[in-house]
Amino acid sequence: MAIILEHILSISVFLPLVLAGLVFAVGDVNKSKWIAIIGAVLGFVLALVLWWRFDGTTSDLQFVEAYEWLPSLGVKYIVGVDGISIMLVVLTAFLLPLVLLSVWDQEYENGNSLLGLLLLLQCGMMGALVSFDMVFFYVFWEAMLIPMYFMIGIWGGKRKIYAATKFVLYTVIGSLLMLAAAIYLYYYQYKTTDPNIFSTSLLDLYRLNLPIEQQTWLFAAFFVAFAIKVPMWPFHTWLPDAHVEAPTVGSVILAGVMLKMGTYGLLRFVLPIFPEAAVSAAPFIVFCGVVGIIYGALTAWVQTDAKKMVAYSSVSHLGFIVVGSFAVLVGGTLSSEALIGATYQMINHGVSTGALFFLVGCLYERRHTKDLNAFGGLAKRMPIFSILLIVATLSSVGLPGTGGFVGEFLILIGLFQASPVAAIFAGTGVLLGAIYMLTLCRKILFGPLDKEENKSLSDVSGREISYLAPLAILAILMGVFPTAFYGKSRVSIEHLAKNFSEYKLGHQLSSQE
Amino acid sequence: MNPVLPSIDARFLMATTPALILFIFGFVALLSSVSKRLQTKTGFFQNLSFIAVFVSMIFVWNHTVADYPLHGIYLDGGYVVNRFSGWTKFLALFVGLITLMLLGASHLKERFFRGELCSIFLMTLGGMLCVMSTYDLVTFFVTIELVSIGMYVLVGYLKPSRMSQEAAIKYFVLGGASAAILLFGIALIYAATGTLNASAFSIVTSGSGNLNSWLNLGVVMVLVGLGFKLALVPFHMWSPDAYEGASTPITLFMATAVKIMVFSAIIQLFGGLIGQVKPLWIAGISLLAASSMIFANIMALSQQSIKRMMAYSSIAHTGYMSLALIVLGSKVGVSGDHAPETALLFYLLTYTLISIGAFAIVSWLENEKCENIIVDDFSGFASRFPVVAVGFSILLLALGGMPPSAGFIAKFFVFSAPISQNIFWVVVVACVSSTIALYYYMKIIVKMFMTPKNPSLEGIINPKFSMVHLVVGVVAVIYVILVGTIAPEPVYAFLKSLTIL
Repeated sequence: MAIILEHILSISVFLPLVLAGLVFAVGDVNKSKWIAIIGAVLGFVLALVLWWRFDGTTSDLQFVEAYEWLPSLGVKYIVGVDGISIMLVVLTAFLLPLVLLSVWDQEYENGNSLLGLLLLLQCGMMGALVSFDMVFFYVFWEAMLIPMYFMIGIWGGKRKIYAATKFVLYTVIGSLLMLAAAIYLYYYQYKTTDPNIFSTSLLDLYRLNLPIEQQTWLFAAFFVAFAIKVPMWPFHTWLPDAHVEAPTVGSVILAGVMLKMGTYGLLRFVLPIFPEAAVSAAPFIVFCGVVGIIYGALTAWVQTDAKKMVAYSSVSHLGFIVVGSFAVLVGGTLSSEALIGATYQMINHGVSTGALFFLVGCLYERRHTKDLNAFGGLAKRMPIFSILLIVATLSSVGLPGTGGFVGEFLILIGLFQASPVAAIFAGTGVLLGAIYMLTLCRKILFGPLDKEENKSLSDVSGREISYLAPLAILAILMGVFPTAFYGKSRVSIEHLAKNFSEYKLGHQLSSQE
Repeated sequence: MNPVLPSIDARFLMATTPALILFIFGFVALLSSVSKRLQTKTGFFQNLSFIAVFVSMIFVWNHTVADYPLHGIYLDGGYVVNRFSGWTKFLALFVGLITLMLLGASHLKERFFRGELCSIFLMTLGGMLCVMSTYDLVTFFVTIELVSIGMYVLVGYLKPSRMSQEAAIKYFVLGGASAAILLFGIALIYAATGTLNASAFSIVTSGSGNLNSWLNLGVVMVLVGLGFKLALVPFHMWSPDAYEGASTPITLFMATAVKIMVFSAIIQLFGGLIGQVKPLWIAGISLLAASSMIFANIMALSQQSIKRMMAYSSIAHTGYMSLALIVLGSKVGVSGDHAPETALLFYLLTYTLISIGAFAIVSWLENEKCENIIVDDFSGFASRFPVVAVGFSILLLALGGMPPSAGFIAKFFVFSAPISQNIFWVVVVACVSSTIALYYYMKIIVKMFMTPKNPSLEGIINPKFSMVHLVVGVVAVIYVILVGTIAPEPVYAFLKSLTIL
């Protein structure tokens, strides 16, 4: 047991890789799906153990493992978890079994490869979340793109090649510029520290003090790479295409976890390493975020394709997270309410938008169309589906009682302290969110049931409930017992908010017993 | 004054054995082609060439890389044996061996393994070994021309088509012109520094004024000449035609061994000179590198023929390698010294292995089609040959520099080299061009996996299983994955130890 706890993060990262190898070796989708789901549930149990054993009273890095990888360059394999990433790790582990359940009975061509790619993607995402070394983070960050590229390109919709290629190229150009900036940081550290430290570990990079001129360019390079991933307006144009053309599982993972990588990167890399540049750029970033909120909401309102509407709603909601991360108070600290709200909203968005994409996927399986005007009055035929859809949309909107409310409220409080004007505009985003989400519900669920094809649709089956219900229940639980979820992260986030201009992360090299 | 002739003793003969074996076997092949009995025996020539290259490889490894009794400078700098040149010679011989293996398994086997062509190949390879072992500029010129002339013949001879003959003529004419410029540059360097021996370059200081400008002009002309050989933009015009016109194993040989040879020679011969012409060197190579990366990647986007696309990709990769060349000789490396040289060696090794795998796959397909492979030939490839498709995708993504492949590690090293000396604009150009390059590598992957097989497409190929190609491909993929994920350190440490000249 002790050995597992000591290496729990490495196991979480590489277990999906081993499973992917098994799945590709077995070759038969009916056997592989059992291997995959047992492994995924195991991964989720490990994540729960990790959370249970996580010490929420300290902001130090926990469950740290460090091994030499390229000593000539000082690159080490370092993994660890702190309050900012712990919730995301559990969310990632939680979503995989649900996603596997959603493809359980599907007749995908080459279904075996789909399972293998999902597992490879899981390895990449986990690795990016727990890496504390720049080179390893970069490896996992880019390696995430390859399975998603194949998923969109092989099992996607009509314009899948265009969407997949745009997705990869847009992300890669940002990442490469980030790599160049990271290499520069590395050499800067080597030249200016005494004794010369050559290491790519984040824990060392946090201790650097960069002069403001260099900070600005490096901040820009890092920020753009993550802003593309978030996606923040105006770097968001890859998202609608990627979501619409991806298969349902691809959309869920993309919205549920991969978009959070961008916002996680902002909190983990951009804010702590470049504090002064972040403070001076914050007004511009908050402006872009608010524009993203309003623009995303207005664009979502006029969509007729259900998936595209949810995609633009993602742009809008992630805009909230961005403005929450950059709510700079007078005096140069960040607002800790806004940061807690932003971190919490990451989980909420994963849960509610993941559920929305699943639900749209259910409709697509039945009617093979995502056009909103093709539905109407389904509430009479599919009551359970309606309940689930309404819970998901209300959580997305931010109705009190659901998790979305907690996140958005905290962000708006923090933003109001930083900039009242921005908070007012962002608040209108909540209103607009309600408008388009309720429009979605109305068009699908209410109104006259006048289309022939809709009259014979079946309600959600047991299997579908098995992966939709946990998300709906979680959305409500997160609204009613928020501290149960973010309680353990609070110390880390407040540490980042108060000390971010002199951010240092301590760490223990052994797990806690 | 009595000229003192350098001594040729037993030690010298042992030191030059690798090249001597190749030359001697080349002569034997040439003379055997006269005999009517042996003329048509492909097996004889095949065995002959294999043995020659293989024995040469073993010699080089044992005596120069692994163990050093023969290290030293012979012929007053005409022939040098050290660990660095030993490694590059080994790599070039390895490429030669793979080329022979691929030719032996191709439909051109009978045409190649005859006396004349076989001997030309062996002598070209021997000439390459000599290029990589010299400190003397005149010897450098003579041997590099030996290699070039051999390459012109190899490009045009094997495939009897107008395209390949035209390619060879283009290569020959441009190569001849560049050789003249190279020679003139060497003459100017001699005039400026008074010596032809590279080991004396770092000691000799050129005078001021006229002499210094001669040195600058000489270095520029040498760069132009070498730029032709490496196919850097704007001296690359011969390269797409030559790569497409040559038969695929020869294209592989051109793409890898020639680059190994020229980069090795630049590091050994001109390394000492850089200190005196530093601003010119940095500016010149940056410009060459940046224009190669951008121009070649843009041109590759619209290519349909795979070999032409690989030619432009090869030009771009030479551009990436030149990033490390910009800051050659700088000491602030990562953990001390010689990091740019190590980065260059690492990239050469990685690029060589990836190319070997990729060209093996293209050559395997070409054997069936007997014509140049185009991108559309890959439609629906994954459904017919899933393992080959996955392997080829891994190699293509490694060429594009995606993690977690060795190609990414290599790119990381070469990007680090200019950044360590605060030269940023080339790296930004490199980042943008890497993204552009990904598009055409992914285009092939798209064709393989994401488009259904179109029965009406021309040139549908059904290649037979071939052990040789499979082994070569597997070796390449294993290297890419292993070195990218688990084991970059042993390779890097080994290459670093070679650069302590």
